[in-house]
Amino acid sequence: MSSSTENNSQRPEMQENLDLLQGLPHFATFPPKALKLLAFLTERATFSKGDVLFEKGDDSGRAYLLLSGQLDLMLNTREEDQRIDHFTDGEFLGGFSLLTAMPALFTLIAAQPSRVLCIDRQQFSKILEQFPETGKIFLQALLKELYQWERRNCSREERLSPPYNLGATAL
Amino acid sequence: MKKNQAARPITEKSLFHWAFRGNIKLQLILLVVIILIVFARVLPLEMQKRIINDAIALKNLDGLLLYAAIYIVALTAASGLKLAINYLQSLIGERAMTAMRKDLYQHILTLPLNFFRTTQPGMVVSSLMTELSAAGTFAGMAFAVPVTNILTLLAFTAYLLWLNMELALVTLVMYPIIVLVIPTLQKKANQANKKRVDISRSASSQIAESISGIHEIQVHGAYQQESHKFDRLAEKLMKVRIRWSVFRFGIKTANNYFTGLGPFIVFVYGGYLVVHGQLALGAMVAFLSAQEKLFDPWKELIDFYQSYQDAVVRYRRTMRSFAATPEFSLEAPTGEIPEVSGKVTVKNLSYDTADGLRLLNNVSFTLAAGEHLAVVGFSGSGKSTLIQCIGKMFPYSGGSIAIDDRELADLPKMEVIHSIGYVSQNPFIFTGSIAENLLYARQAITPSSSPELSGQEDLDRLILVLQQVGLFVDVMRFGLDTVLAGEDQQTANRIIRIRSRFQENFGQQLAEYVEFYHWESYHYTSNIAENIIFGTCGNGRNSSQLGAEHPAFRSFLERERLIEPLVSLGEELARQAVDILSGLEGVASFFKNSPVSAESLGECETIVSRLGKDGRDALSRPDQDFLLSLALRFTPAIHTMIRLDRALTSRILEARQRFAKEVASIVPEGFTAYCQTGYIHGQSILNNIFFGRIKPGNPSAQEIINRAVMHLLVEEDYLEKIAAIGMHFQVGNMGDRLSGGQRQKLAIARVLLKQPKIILMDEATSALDNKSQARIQRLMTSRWKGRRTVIAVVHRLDIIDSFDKVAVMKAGKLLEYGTYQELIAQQGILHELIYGKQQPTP
Repeated sequence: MSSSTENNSQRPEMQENLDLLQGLPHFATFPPKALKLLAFLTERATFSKGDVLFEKGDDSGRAYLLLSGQLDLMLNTREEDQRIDHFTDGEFLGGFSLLTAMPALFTLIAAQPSRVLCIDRQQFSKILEQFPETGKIFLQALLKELYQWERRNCSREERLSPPYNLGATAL
Repeated sequence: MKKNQAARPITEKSLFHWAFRGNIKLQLILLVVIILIVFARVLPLEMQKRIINDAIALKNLDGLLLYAAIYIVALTAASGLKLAINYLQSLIGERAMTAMRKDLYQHILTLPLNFFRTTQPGMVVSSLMTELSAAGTFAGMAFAVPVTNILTLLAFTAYLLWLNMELALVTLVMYPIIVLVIPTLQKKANQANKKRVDISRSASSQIAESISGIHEIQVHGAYQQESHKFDRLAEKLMKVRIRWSVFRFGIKTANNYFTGLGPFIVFVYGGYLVVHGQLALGAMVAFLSAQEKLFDPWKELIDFYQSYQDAVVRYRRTMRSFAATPEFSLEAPTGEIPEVSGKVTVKNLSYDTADGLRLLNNVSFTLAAGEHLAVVGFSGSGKSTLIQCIGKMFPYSGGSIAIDDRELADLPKMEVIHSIGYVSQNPFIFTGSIAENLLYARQAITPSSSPELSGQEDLDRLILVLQQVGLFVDVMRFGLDTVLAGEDQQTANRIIRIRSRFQENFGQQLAEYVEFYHWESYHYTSNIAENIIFGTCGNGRNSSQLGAEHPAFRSFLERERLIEPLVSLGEELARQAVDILSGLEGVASFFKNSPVSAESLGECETIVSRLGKDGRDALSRPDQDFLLSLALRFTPAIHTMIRLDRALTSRILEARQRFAKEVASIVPEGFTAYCQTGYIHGQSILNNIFFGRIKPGNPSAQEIINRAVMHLLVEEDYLEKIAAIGMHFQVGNMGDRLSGGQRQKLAIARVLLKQPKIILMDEATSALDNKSQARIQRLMTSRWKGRRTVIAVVHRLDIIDSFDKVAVMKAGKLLEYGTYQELIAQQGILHELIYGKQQPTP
């Protein structure tokens, strides 16, 4: 029986998690102890194709780092389900939901068999409490990401007439 | 209300009624025993006199022996008879009290619902269980005690008069005085007692209220307020109880004092007579004892008087508080109950509360048989009152309700119960199994049917109803979560077969979510100890007691040469735990996936620092054991800080094989290995089917597995069996093991099983999620339309378009009535309710 926990590498899973988290701007400059704790508290999960990670209206309370596979972000409207974004290896999503509870506006499903690293809001907020300097680092990374996202949108060509749906960074 | 007029209501029956009803034979036996005992009591007195006057004075030894023999026989007989009297008394008392309780309880159950709006359960409990017991004890004494004691008194008095008329009259003069004094005191005691009964009843109501509202009290921190309310009553109760006691003991003391004067008079006057030679000394001794003997029956009479007064007060107070009469006759209808078609006609209906509040005002509408009506409106508009009136839960004050053109008020209640089903918003679920709750309503109308599941037909019907209301999946869950009793080998064998099918069919598909148990492979979601043991010990007991502290298990590990590698694994775990978690002991959630608990982190720190200084050799035996247990708890899939060494993995697998062989010497109780052909007792049916553990990380894994299991059970035709097991699930105290939605579904199912023609629903689906709500809605439109009349109070306006008619109520009046389309087109209040509410709320 093959198992995701049975791995040829002899490095502990937590060490691998640590390396992966260190590669993300959100956590890279965390104090070593906080980063190690975060790596210890993250959990890996496996999803089959078609599995729902969270559904519109849920408060999933988790952020995901995609290790392999593909996740699709869907907008459910009354008429149809529309794919508005997709994520592949190494992408991090759900940072907002680590800070506060918000009902999801989208649905996230596994488009391929996927493996993810999950960070739980309850655990994460405890880390923020224990290591106050981490809050600022995480928030800065998040804001920078939002800024880049809006900058990309500003330069897109199809934006010809109002309403532009821009200005989130000016909030 | 019309038929039972002849019989006297139970609350107006006298206390003596209970003493004699059904107990006349016992009371007569008692009387005979009493007459015997009176005789047996007087006899020793005469013997006493004869012993002194005839035997001792005349030195008659034969006479002495004879008199002494009669004396002892009479004394023994008196004691034996006393025992018999006590037995008979308590027998009569208990029978009377039980009859009283049963009848009163039955009466209380039929009292109008309005009565219970103002009555706390605690008051009913204390009335039935405490207050009535005094009355019951009294019922046992009611006849025997006065008769015995009056007879004894008369006998002694006659004997005294016979001994010496003059002396007797002088001593008896005491008693009329006592008879004058005591009732005055008793009257005051009674007043205090009445107050006591009332206050203790308020106190029990207060307690019951606080306990029912305990959530509210704790969430508002209103401990002081509630204690204060109770303290006031408790203190009031104390004062009145003290008053009551003072009077009661006053009566006793007065009585003792006066009767104590008797011997004094005998000594003074009798002594005078003896000195003057007008009385023999023996006669005076006999007189003295007889006079003293008067004291006992007299005291008992006074006690009887007191408990009579107490019992009457309690009994009257208790009965008076339940003096209401049932609003409806509950007599079983004679002959066949006519089948109704379900047409409901309401004309000028009004309902006033006892305080004159008008809750329904001139409501009229007609609903054809099989039509569905949604009643909507603001809260307090009389929606619930309307359907409760139609369900004959309250008598209406004006107008008429007709079922198939027959006036509801004239229909016998039992007939209404047959044809109308009612589901309330907060249905009450009784302690017991799901099946018992399901059959509850049906059993009431067909008392012959058993409360248990009987036969396939019943089971099929129950399953159908469960599916209709959407409770089937829940019941299946309960069934799958059931831990099978050890003796049910047949089911166990079947489940083992299903298990192998499960792995064939779903093994591949579920591999991502489940780690199955395989005898030959390491199980990463179990800890090391579990991997070695790989089975369960005893019948259902967990194997967790096998640890480092278990001597036989430890020596097994030694034989396997596993101690050393495991201790060093423990060492590594301890180091990692200290490295990651030291200083964070205050945050419990950080330790969720740690093999080291927050409490034992300190010990880890000590051991790690000792290791750092002096190396492995410095470890004491307890330290070693600590590290060993740590290693035995290590679960690779959860404790990610360390990876399990390949070499150690295979050695553990070898140990597993040998453990199974040697298990008999390590654990004496039975042992079941996790092998494909063994049923794991002590684990749920579900675990036995999927036979493994869920891997951490995927929150929906359980759901996916459940679906697969259900799928297989359908294929295996074993669904019904598991459902039947699930229906034996105990719902807990008043159903507290069920969710709000499950309770509502169960309540709907309960009514459906009864198959009433008219179904009344009072926001019966308010606790359901959207899917379940839609299912019930589908059930109503597809299966009930045209067959069953439905009147539903609806809180969600988005579902009312599937009803035939809509009634809009406000302040007790029916403002709009018609089809959904008509009312919307009319742009009246319904339109306003719907479109006014659809404004987006921020």
